[in-house]
Amino acid sequence: MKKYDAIIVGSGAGGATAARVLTQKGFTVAVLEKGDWKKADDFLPYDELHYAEHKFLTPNEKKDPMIWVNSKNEEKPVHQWWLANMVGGATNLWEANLPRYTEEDFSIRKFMRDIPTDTSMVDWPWTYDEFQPYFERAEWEWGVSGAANQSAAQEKTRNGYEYPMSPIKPHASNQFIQDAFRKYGMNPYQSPRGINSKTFNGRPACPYCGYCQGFGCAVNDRATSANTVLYTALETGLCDVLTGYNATRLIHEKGKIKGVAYKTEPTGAEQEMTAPLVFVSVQAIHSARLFLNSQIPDPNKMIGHYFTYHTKGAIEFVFRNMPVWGNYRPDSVFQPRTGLGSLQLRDLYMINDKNTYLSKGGKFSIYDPYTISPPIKAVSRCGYHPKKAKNVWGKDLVERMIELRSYGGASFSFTGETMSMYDNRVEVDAIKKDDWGVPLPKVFYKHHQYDIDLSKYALDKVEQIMTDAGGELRLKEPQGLENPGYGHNHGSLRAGTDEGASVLDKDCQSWTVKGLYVLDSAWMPTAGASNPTLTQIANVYRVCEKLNK
Amino acid sequence: MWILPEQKNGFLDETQKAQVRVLFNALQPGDASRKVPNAEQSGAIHFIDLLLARDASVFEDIPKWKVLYPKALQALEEQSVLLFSKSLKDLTADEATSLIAKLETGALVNFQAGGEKLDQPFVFDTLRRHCIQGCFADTRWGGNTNRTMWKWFGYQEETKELLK
Repeated sequence: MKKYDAIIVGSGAGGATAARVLTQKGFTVAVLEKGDWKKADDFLPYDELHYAEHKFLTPNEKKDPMIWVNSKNEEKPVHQWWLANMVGGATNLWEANLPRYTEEDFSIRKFMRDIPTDTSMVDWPWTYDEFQPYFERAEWEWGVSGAANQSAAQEKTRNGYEYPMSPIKPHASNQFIQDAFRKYGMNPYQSPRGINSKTFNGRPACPYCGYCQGFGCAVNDRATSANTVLYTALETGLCDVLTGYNATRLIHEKGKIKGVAYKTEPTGAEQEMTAPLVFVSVQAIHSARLFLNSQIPDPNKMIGHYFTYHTKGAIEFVFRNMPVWGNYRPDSVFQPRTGLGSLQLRDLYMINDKNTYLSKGGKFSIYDPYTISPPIKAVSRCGYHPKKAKNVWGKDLVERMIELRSYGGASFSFTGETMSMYDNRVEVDAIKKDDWGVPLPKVFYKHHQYDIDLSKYALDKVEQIMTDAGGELRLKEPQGLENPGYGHNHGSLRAGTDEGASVLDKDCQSWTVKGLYVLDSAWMPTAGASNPTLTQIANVYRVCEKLNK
Repeated sequence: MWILPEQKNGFLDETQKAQVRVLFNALQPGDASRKVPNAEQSGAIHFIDLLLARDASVFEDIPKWKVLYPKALQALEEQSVLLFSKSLKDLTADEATSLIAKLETGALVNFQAGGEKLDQPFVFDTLRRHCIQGCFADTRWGGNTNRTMWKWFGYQEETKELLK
């Protein structure tokens, strides 16, 4: 078997970026990917029923679930809609919302007051300033469209810095939403997206087809790890992407990594590949699962613990004082009626309100429930009345359908800080296995009261402002105690400077197995309060640029 | 490119289709006075008839639905007779709405088919989901006849008023 300097497990955001940096530095790398290559053709025709409703591109719900353990200790299999077993991983199906984490995330103890004593909210062992150049590299190599200095609440960038491309076309609701929030001293701004607003690095501009999250981008304007950094790595000739390779176990001996055990068929024999360096990046739940299945020494019982999902919340309005946003004019400066949402509201990232004990908050992504979703999603998930928000049917459904096509709307998706707790954790099931014979991950999760209060507070603030602008509430779903699973998952293999309180060192290398690194969001000591992937990618540059052959 | 296999024959018999028609039209009743097509006018009954005739290669849950639908329709038929003294296919819109409201909340007493107790919220969720899919999915699946609901809803084009 061909020998490599490094094995990378997973070809998504972390793994592919590692391949990019390591090959640039002369390492030969093998990228093990459980799935196969996808072409634009594999994502066509855009069919909502097939790809979204029937979940064609995500792991099989029955054969490859995770086990969720709720607050009553009941175990339920859960579909992992946030995973994609294919080259490029979940970056094939994302909405490519790519904000930076900021100082408030890196140094939380400096910013958060009254930290609940039953939590573990620790400062990260790096600063935002240290990450700054890596954010910039991430934004340029992945192709992020955006604009600096739109809002005082926005991520701070280096003086004079600009994103590689201007933002994607604004949504037709932007001005109305921005005006409404500016009355309250807040300033929503256009989000940084891994979506081309013009031809960039050989890929075309977005045509605003409307098929984003959950769909593959057949146009290739949306960045994936496969069409950006992995492509660059392959061009060096030093990178092999081995598809159909399912890493089942990490091989280690006397505190050193030796390689990876893998299977190429579910019922096939386990095989081994050796290398002095192994980089794991298969999302936080599965990286912890791999550590546990590999018996990585864990003297302090930290593996899998302090796992976090972001605090969520959703709220939706109709504006009967406004016509439906936008139109289909080809020369419109706005996105057509089937485009992306584009505004971010970050003014509640820190809460300075004497009426609440809350301090660290989060941010909202703003959408229009009508124009940004394919029709089944738009109709089946709409709310009608706050007390009858889900599963609308009958005359209520018809009324809501008429509203959607007649009036402007706005929906807000909250991503908030989350309290890290030891008991929120990933384990592996002692009995249940997937088709490949690998024990299933089992996730124990309960949100802290802080998370629940934060979500409610943030939604209440938005409700006040949107109601003042003429909005009528149609759906309000604050975070509850339970969380059956979410795409933003982190923290299961914490990095830190204290060997007794972390799984990985400051450079995301295992304390107990040298040469073993973790590059998905499992290393994040706390959850932060933004979409995590850009920060995850920036960290890969930070870690891998230090390594020399 | 993913190609949906052609499906000519349906799964439901005429009585079952009539039952589904009553249920789907209660779930998405449209509004003739405001020119909103209902589930039947949108082709949703044809959609589910064809979907259930397909196999697991199209979607793995289809075999499960093939088993569920006859049982659920039988159980709802029995409930219809019990509550309204008439067959499910003959229920008025208000009666069908009342029946579905009970199904949604699990309030139907002894909801079973052939001695097998059925999960009422699951049956409700399945019917609702399929009704909306039948109205709004791509026409290749057999519903959304002539893009009826897309035209009305304003999907990929400006909204149109469709009913006279």
